[in-house]
Amino acid sequence: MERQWSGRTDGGTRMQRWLIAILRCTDVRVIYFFMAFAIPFYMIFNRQGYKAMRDFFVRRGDRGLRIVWHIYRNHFVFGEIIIDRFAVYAGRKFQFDNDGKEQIDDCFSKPGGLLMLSSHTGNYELAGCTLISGDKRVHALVYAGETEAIMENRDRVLGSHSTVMIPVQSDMSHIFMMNAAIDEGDAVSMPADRLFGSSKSFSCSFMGSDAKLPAGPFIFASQKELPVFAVFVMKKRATRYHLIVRRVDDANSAAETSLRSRAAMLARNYASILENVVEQYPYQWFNYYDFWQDN
Amino acid sequence: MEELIQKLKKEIIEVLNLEDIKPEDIDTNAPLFGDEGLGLDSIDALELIVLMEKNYGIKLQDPNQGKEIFKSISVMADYISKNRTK
Repeated sequence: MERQWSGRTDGGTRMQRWLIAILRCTDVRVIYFFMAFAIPFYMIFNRQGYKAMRDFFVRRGDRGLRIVWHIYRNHFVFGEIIIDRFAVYAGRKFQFDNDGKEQIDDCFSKPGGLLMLSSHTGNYELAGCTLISGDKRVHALVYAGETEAIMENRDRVLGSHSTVMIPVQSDMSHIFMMNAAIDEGDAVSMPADRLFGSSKSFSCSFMGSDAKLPAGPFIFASQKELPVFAVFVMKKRATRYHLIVRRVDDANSAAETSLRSRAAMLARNYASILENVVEQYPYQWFNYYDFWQDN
Repeated sequence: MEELIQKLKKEIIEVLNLEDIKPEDIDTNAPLFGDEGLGLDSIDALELIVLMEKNYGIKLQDPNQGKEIFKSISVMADYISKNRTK
């Protein structure tokens, strides 16, 4: 049965508004400090997340108490990233070290649409604050379950950076909106690591065994013959992030003659890029379910 | 119209990679999406949008209009016959 994503950040609207208000006058590091004491409780009560991360670190070769420490660090960085997202809504600024950004900048300056692929690693939402898309708008496909506080602030903060949200809807209206955005020469951004909206997938080698990546983003890119970029925003220090941009389509994918084989090649390229980033930042893998089994 | 319906069925089978289905297996009036009929999903919708654009020069941008057009093969064929530019 296909897994359904609520796409909802923890906490109600009132709590999230309080957090934004606190972050207007408090350094993020103060909040991180208090959060550090709450993480063990989260590890105890979020059994599915704990188990998924335990399997992830075992897969990476960790054993014994090191695994518990690594799961703690993973949960801590996840908490930092959620806080940073609210800090941006509160008007806080972060610094970025750019790696490969010029490739997408070049594409932003040329006519025609492009596809940006996100994943549940790092803090992708901050890409909207640092990528300058010129005359193009970035249409970001998002899960429709977020609270009013998040949607309002996303629209306000990211809207000023030419980002438009497209919520995934059961009536498939998002498909028409994505298609229209590309036809207008804009950029579309969508997650490429979780199956949602469709069970169709491509099986790709990822961290030692096969995992299924959603077919949608890659079929879309193949059908529309789009340039495709993998974008990651990985946390380095309290107020500094590492923006990583990698081109997914290459000469090999372009040489594929059928739409399906081209899409499959794009999926394999993306899995390889994602694996490299996750190897570099293992604590920033935030798929809290059995990625290899359930996807 | 019957010729267009048969052509459309073949195109849909090809573009959606429906290997086990033959044109005669597809009920012209059955729903394309949902649990009945062909049971297509959102990725298939995307492929149908592109098919309409590439093969018939029809750009579908209004989601409400799209939902109506993709009700069944017969509705699609009817819309294509009235609006095609290719």
